[in-house]
Amino acid sequence: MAAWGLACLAVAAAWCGVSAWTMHIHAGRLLRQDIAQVMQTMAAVPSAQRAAVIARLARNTPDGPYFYGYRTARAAAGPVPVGRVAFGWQTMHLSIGGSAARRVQVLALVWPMDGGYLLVARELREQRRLEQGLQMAFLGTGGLFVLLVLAFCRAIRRHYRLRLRCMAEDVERMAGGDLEAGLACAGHGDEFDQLARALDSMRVRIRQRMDDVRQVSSGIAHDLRTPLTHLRQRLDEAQRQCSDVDAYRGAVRRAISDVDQVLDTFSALLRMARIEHGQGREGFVPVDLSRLLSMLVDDYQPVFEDLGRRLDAHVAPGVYCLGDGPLLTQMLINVLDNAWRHTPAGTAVAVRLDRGADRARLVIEDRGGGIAAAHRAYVFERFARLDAARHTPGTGLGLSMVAAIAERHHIDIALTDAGPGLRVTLHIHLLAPPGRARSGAEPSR
Amino acid sequence: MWVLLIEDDVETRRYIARGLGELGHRVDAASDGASGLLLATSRVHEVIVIDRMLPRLGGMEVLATLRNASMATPVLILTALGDADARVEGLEAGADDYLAKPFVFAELVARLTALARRPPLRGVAPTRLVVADLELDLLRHSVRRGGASIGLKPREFRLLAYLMRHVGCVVTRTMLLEQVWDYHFDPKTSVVETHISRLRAKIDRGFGIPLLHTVRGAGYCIKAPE
Repeated sequence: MAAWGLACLAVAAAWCGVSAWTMHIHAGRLLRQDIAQVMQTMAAVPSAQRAAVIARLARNTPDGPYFYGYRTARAAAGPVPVGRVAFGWQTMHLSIGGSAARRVQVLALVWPMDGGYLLVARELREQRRLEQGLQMAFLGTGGLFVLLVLAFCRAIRRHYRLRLRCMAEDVERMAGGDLEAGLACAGHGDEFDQLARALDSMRVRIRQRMDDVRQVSSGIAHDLRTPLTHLRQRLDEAQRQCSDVDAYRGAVRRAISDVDQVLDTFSALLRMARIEHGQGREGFVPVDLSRLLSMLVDDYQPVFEDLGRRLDAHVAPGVYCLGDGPLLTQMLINVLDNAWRHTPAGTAVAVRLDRGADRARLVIEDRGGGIAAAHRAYVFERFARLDAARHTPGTGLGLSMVAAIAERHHIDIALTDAGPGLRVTLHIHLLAPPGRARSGAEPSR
Repeated sequence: MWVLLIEDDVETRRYIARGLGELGHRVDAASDGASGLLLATSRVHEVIVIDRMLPRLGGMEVLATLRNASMATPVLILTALGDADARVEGLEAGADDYLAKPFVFAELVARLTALARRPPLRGVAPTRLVVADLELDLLRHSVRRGGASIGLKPREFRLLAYLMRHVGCVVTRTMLLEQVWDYHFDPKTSVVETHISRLRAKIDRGFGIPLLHTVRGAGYCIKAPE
């Protein structure tokens, strides 16, 4: 603050000095202009009348502001300096008569005229007075201006301090764990609001993640509790009731399958964490989506047949996207898996890949019960099990894996009603088909 | 089969060593990387199992040292990290196979057997595979049994080729998913079972003696009748 004050003072002092100097120069120039103009007027007077005109002027304005002196061999009028007189601009002292005889310091212009000279002068006190007046005005406005600037700075500082303090309080509250209330945003649209908005979006994301964690932990607790409870019951039962080796074997086999279910859930969670942890498009390569989907359909058509269902496919050729082939394969397998699990036997699932202008459209449509509009967002959450599916086998992670992989690839998923059934639509950003040299992209390592 | 097992977890070491011992295999066990490396360089094992996380000398370092010393003994890496990056890293460092914990014992045995029986000259791959009267020509992409031509879909062909390369060995569902489908996750759908049954219908049905067998609780095996 002291440095800021000193700097202000220095600037003000420099400004005053410069303005005083400029003022001086300028006032001098003005004075000279006036004198020169009067001189020209005098020179224009016919020489015969000059002495009379000057004598009259000197008589009429004995106290200035202009003084006139005229000396030739034949005539003399007005005050002139004592001794020899040089021509041109000069500062001198004149003894003037007037109301009160006095000696004044003047700025004079002396021109040769009519064999003698003509002198036009103006009192220097005038210039000083002019300078002082101007300086007073300048200093007054300047000082006022500096004061205003200082006051303005203080006000701004106060304003920003207040806003920063508000923000700091909000952030401290967030750090303390209260993520519910948003950050106050003044609505000025300035950088502080920008910062407030950025902090607020961070808060929303943190809260979302914390909700995720909370939901996942309760999901894990719930989903692992069930198989672990079964496991415990089975082991307890085996201990109490098994009498022969075969009975024990059966109990152990069932126990192992319970443990496997727990392990499956864990590895699915780990896999998903890794997919979500993956940054940007690192490790992405051009993928021939048409080929990937065709191979998948070839593999799954007999599977669907064995499950008493049908898989119909229409795949547009030459659709490429940037991505991770194995992940995309897993995503599509999970969608297909979901389709047959929730549809009655004897129905068909249709897969269709179309090429759009900048995005490909992949539709997987079944003829099952569909998902009520209210539940459509919910099914992508971890451990989401709609009541109808609560007792079917599965980890409840299949579609959240789909969502994670889709998000990684910037693929938009939409669930709509296929009337009847569920239609899953994936919008995938297209990639121009790579040249032959790079066409090795396929669902392999 | 003479197996070297380098694993620091006492429970897992005991589990594997006892299991392999019961199957009649000979097992040397080490509990850390340095003593494992010493054992590996002093005896000739048919296959080495290395845990990735080892005290004193990490599993990947042991593997790198072995490969730098031009030891070509097949190595299977065991790991708690089952993700794709760790697997690729392991395979690039010279491992022959990769198995994530927890695993089913039959899976480990099947993989070790496949590794131990791998021909030492891996560069020269046969172009024709024969099991009894079943012939598979890798160049012509044709399959014949008893002189009759059998039409297989591409995936069925790959599946049969993999099974025939491991004739007499048990191959597990996971091995098939990894090697034939390139799926490094469990698709939870009977894709392997379905294709095996289609393949069986094509190569075994109507030929009297079945060649493709299901090994209960372990996997599948193609073998000639004894």
